[in-house]
Amino acid sequence: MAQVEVSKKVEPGLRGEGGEKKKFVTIYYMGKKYRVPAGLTVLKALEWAGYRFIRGVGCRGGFCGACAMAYRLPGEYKLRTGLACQTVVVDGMYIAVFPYLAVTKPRYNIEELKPEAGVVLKIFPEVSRCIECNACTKACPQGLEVMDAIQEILRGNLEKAADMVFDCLSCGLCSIRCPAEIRHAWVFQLVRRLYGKYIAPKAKHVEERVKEIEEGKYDEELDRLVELARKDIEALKKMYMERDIEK
Amino acid sequence: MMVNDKYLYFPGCSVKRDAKSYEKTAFDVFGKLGIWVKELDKWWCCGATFGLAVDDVARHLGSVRSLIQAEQEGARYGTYKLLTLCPMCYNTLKRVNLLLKRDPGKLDNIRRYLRDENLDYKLSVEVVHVLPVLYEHRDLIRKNIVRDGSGIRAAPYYGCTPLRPREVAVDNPEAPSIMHVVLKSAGVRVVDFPFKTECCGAYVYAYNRKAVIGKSSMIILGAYKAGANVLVTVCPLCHYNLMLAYNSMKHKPPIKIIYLTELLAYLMGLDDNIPPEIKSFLDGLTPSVEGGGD
Repeated sequence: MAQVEVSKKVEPGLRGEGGEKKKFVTIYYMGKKYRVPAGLTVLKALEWAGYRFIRGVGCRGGFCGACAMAYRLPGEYKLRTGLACQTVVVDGMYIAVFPYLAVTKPRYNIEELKPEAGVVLKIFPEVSRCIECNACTKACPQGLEVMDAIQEILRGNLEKAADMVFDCLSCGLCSIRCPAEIRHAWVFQLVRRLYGKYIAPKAKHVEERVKEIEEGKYDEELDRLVELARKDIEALKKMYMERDIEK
Repeated sequence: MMVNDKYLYFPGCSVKRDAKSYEKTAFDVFGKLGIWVKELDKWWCCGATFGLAVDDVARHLGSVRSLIQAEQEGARYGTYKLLTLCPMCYNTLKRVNLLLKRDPGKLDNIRRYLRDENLDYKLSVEVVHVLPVLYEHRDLIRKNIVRDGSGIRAAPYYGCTPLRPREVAVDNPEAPSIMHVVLKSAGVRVVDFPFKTECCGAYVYAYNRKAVIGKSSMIILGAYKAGANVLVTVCPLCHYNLMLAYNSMKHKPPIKIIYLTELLAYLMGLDDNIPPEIKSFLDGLTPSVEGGGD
């Protein structure tokens, strides 16, 4: 290949810090073609191309699940999914970034529920429609075993299900791939709540401490400190600095 | 333990959720009979009913996944026989297996879909229900009985799914007898009754409880009028519907609805996993137990 000549005619932004010419790839968004620098994430590439994202973007760190996207790669039949802030552009990529996914959340009162499969099925009857196609698992940007978690719910093992979906970002990509129309993110949220409230062992020391506080064990000590703050703030500061610190 | 027979085991959602004593007593009985049983490391809902739409192969994916899992574990454990307790799971898994064996086009269709997940099915699994397994080992059952079952008058109730359609039936679908034989081997008095293959109402309970209560009440009263004091089932769904009907009765006949393996475990003296109220009911029918006898 011929040596690349460094020319001052190239627009700013098209060169790296060392003056080398940046590599570009072609992507398609909303049916239009864009040349964007290689190595960018889809989100940054689209912003580079001039799009401004007001909705459908959040933490930009792969944690909030707001920037769900679907895309196809050239020469492939597969519809792939990912997060726009985590997926790097590929030459020929055909992209749709979802501003919002229509995954509605039914209302329920967690105080009135029991940690049973039947309760989950009553609120989300579509869970029993799972045909085990595994499209959800293939769509998950977190690599969760989504279908298997749904299966654990069906057999009544909510604890296992809650554990399996701990890392769910609620991006909703599984739900738009699901032929049973399951609203996974909300199903999983319910399962984690049921687990947290009814199944997970309670922290005994917290209960004991709360009881002590309610019984007024620390009231006298607290009153003394408040009084001291009013009378001699310096003495209180000194006390604070010299307090015992648990290791 | 002497191993007389080896099976991989598919539990199913209902067994894990609602019929734990069925499973636990079954395992106690298997242990006593030398039947080696290994639960699949992973399994998926069978689909609960066999999809009848001919072009809807996706409905069978759940069953195929478990068959593939059994095939993979079969190579490891040296048995390709997949045992089920729930006859609904038996029925669905068996019919899917049969469909794939008979229709290479559908098998190919499913294979191509599952290739994404590096899965393939080579048709090596045989789906088996617990009834014929117990029937096969009836002599061993007889040898292991420790309690006098002469006060127990058991009506064997088969329901639909172990018997219909004919191509997956575990016995003669019109006049089944293998549960009769198993119970006889266990030393109880067997009461034949006309509704032994009648439908309990199945999934209709989800939208028409009255219809289910009607069907299941007829079965309970039929067994009672024929002289039974125990109604024996092998199906979690039948059990659910029969209990629904029994609990709705104003005048409850003195007959207990129990799983076959609970009764066998009791007669073999394997009491650990028998629900206490069933244990005490059976104690009341057993002459050797104080206060028992008929």
